[in-house]
Amino acid sequence: MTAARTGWALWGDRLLLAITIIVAALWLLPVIWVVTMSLKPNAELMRSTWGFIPYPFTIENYTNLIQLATVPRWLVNSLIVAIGMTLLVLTVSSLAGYAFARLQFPFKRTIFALMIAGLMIPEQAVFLPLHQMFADWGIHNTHAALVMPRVAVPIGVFLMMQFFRAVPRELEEAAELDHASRFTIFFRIMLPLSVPALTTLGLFTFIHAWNDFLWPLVSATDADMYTVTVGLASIQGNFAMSEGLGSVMASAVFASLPIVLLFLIFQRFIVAGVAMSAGK
Amino acid sequence: MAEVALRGVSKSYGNVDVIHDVSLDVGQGEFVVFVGPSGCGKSTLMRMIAGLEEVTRGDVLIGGERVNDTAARDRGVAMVFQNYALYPHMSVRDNMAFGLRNIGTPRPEIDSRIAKAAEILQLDRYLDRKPRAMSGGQRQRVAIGRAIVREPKVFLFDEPLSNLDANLRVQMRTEIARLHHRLDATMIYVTHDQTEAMTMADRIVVLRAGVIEQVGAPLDLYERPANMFVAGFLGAPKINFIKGRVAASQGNEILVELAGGTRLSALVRPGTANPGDAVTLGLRPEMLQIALDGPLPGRVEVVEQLGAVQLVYATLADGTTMVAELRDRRPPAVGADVRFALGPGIRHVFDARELSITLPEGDHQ
Ligand SMILES: Nc1ncnc2c1ncn2[C@@H]1O[C@H](COP(=O)(O)OP(=O)(O)O)[C@@H](O)[C@H]1O
Ligand SMILES: [Mg+2]
Repeated sequence: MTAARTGWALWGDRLLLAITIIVAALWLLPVIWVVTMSLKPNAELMRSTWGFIPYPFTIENYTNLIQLATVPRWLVNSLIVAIGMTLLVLTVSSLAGYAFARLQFPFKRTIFALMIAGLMIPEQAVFLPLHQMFADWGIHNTHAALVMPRVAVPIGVFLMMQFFRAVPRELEEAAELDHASRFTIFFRIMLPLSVPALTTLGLFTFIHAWNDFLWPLVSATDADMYTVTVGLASIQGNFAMSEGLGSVMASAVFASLPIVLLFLIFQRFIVAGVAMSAGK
Repeated sequence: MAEVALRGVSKSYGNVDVIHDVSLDVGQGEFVVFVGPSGCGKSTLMRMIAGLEEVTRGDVLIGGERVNDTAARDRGVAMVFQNYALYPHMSVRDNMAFGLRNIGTPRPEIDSRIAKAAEILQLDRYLDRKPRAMSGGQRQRVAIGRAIVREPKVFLFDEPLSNLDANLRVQMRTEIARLHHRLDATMIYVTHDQTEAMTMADRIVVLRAGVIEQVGAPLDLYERPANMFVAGFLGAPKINFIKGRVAASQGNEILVELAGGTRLSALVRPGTANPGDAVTLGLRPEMLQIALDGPLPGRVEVVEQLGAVQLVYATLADGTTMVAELRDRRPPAVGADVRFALGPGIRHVFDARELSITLPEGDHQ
């Protein structure tokens, strides 16, 4: 492939590569900077925050963080919320997406329009009534309160609907002639086929859930029910004052570790997902 | 008793009529081919038999029972789709087993049926493969295998070979024909390819724009087409149509005058053609010869040397293109002026409405 490229085309490739590297570096620098600062003693950071080499080097900021008794508790909360939300979103999105893609039922268009309208309502707009409702039910400061408002995700339904629509109809017809019921078709044919789409949707949901801040901040007022993001934010104020910048940076790195890990493991699906939502 | 019967079946999508009042009986063990140009409603008709498409008017009967309101899964038919429609995430074995598992067939029974189908279709070695790791021909075999193991009352094939290359198509054609003999099952087969129809069918159903044009054994349709459409659709190279006018008629015999003054005689059913009527002559390429004293002058445009035969394409005086299938190793040169003579064979005559008025063959002489 490269052998055939000569002259201007070759220079074009090199230019493109150079631009890509520069853009990547611009994206990466702040991250490296944060990591570097998290590995420097706070005293050092008082003098200067510059430099990309963690010297003098210390992991004190991290050990301090982990020694805080509530941090593991927050991690568990975040995991429960993120995993719970992911499973529920996948269930609802795939079922509803399939229904919209392939079933005929009364008021289908109206219901679909309502769902799409949901895309346009900013989350913050329903915070007050939602908060009030959950308060009335007395379910604030539970995992359920953190998960429930995020289970019906229009974009997830939409994504799965698009995916199911792209599955050749003959596949379902063949299954129907093979005596498969609707449920068999859904669970034995459509779901297994949609594993890539489900993985992508699941990853995005998980990441979204993990990074979620505003709702947990409002709903979980009990420190034991904090998620990692809310919890770390609550101590960052103290840190910045008493311990210094290094600790703040360490908590930022710490909170994003699971996400980075996910990215590394599921890179392929995330790229596919971005391409998919770009309408490719 | 008819295994499959259509009684005045029509289909509309909204106010677009796709199938008009089709009636047909398909006998037990018969191999019937629906043929017609793309978009004429072959698939729709087949899908109505399968139960994948609702019938707008009329009745579909399978095994003597009206099945209009019977779900596809309960009709006892198996279908092979053009794009195979194999379950991509399942192995070949699971693809075949799926339908049997769904009706709770015991495991040993499933295994033995798969083994038998795999042997018939030479799939033994591929049972644990996924469809994507197989060639088009192999996938098509799996799709057929999936139908066989179900032991259906009726097999439906919707253009099963059109995604295969020419060689494979010929090979699969004979395999399906062999399968039909071996299983002695009722098969309905859809194709737009007249060769497939001619070679495989017990009976051909020619469709045009949702209407049955003619039904009959392949040779019947070839020799006694009811109209110009059927005559033109069956046979390759295509039959030659030459416009003319009845110059004289006497009894069954008419003289047709073509552009350029050539007069050819033909036999028609009594009372169907009067002097002055516009008619179209239909001459099959294989009945044309080249002779010095032939009545039809033409100029050679293209010569296709196929070895056993030569196809000579020529233009007649009125600009009509005509093709002759010769068995002369040394055909005329391109650009040569030649004269065509008519050898033995049926001279088809069609009236102004494109219907055949040819005297049936038995009545010749
Ligand atoms: N779902 C549909 N809605 C509207 N028109 C359709 C639909 N399916 C098929 N048709 C029309 O019906 C006609 C016959 O289609 P089809 O049976 O697929 O033809 P064939 O199989 O002979 O190529 C075509 O003109 C096609 O456009
Ligand atoms: Mg078709």
